Amino acid sequence: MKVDRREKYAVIYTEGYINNQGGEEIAQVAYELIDSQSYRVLLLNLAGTKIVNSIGISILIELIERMLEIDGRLAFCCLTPTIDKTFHIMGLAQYADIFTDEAAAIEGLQQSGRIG
Amino acid sequence: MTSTERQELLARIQRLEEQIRDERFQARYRGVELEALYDVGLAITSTLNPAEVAEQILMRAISLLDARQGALFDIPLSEDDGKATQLALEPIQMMGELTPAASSLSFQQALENPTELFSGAKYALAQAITLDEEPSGLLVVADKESRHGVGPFPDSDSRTLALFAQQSAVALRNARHHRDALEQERIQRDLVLAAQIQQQLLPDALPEVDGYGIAAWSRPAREVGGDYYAAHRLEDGRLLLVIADVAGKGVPAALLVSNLDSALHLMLADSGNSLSTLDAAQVERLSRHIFERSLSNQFITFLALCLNPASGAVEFVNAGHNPGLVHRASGNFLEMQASGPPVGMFPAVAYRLGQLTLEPGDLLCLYTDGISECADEEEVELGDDGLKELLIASAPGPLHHLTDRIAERCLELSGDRPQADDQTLVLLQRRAWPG
Repeated sequence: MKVDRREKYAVIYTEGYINNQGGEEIAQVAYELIDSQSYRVLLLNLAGTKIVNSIGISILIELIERMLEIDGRLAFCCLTPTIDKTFHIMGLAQYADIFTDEAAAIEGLQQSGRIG
Repeated sequence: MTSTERQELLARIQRLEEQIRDERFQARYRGVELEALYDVGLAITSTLNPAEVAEQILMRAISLLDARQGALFDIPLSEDDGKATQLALEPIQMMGELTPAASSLSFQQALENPTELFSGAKYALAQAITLDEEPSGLLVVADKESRHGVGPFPDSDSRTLALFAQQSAVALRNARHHRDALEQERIQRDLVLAAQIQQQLLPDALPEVDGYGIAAWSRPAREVGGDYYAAHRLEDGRLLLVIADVAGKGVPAALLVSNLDSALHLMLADSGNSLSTLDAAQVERLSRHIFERSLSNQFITFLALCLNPASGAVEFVNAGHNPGLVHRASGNFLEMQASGPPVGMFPAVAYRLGQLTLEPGDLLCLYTDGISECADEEEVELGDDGLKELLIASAPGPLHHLTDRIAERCLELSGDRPQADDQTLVLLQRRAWPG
């Protein structure tokens, strides 16, 4: 899984199925960025993911909750229409930002003052 | 309230919160499931791409059932009876890794022991996809995930998978119809191309011969046909006219027409485009060539003539073709009768050269049986007599007016019904006065 560490945020590029294993891998990378490298804004680029299951969603919800606890922000971009709809139904969109692509995500996070 | 009681109460509240949270999660996930089934239904009706629909179905089944891997198999249709073969499974879409043995499992084996399909699978759930009460595919998911590992699928998952299998059946039916439609389209494209190629076998323009008018017309019953005509001006100034009709219609007939055309051109090239005389032996050679390169039930009726324009002398060989008609200026008819069977019917045949002379005003008509046997809705054919009447009634003027009139008469007879046979007509008229 590729991670792009930038000054005020990091981008995690997911790959493949976000299930138990895929979700745990994302969580491990994200918690490392939050706890050891003090990132407070994370962007998950899901261009490499076509499928997510309920275990993967529960792991992502936990990650969102963790970000809220530390007053950080989790954002998603490049979702397939199916995953986008799933995230909205499951309520992830209420507590995380969802953008069409990475450029729109960065612009949106900048406008909201999250990354200056 | 003691501190222990308070802690117990807090623990109970926390458990209740977790329970509510879990139930809210499950309720929302049912919403995802319903949306997924709805979306798959929409996808099936809105796309003709079978792989796309299969991917949607499989991905959603895997994700909604929290499976680790899964596959959607098609059972190929048997070429003999069009029914699904029980012997082979082909994954249309898959996620995970199939075992080496998966490809050799029969439908029934895979349905009963689906774990054998996937590498390392401990639990699997399979659902048959049936079309017209025949098994036509298999939807399989393997290893239900939880936060603690994998486990078996509960009964409720069987019902969900059955719903996806039903939708897969519709998608597979559409896919098969789509595949058939594409195949038809490909055949149609090939036929259009074949028709263009066959059109090129016919003369672009007819040779001009002083003192004579020549016209020709041909219309295949299908895209391609078995009728053929050719007109060549030989080096010594004589005119070679050929008309032929391959038994049958459509592509098989068209292939033999192509063979005939090549053979004729080679014969002409061999003789340096200057046949010293129309030799019956050459037609015998042609017949042997066609016999050796065609099916046992294929043959060609064939009539070739060579005209010396100066004298009007005509030599001809008729191999089983309709008698060519010569309408004398005097009003009589002469028929160019066959002197042997169609070419390609027997390995060795002998033909006789016929001879006649075209006098000024005489009209020679070569035609295939699609013209004379063209019939009205009561099966009354134009016949040789009907054709003769049209030749008699022809007014002086350009010869193509007469081909147009005969084509028109054929259309009148067949009306809206499909054309029964290929139709070809070649006319040659010695003008009453030179120039």
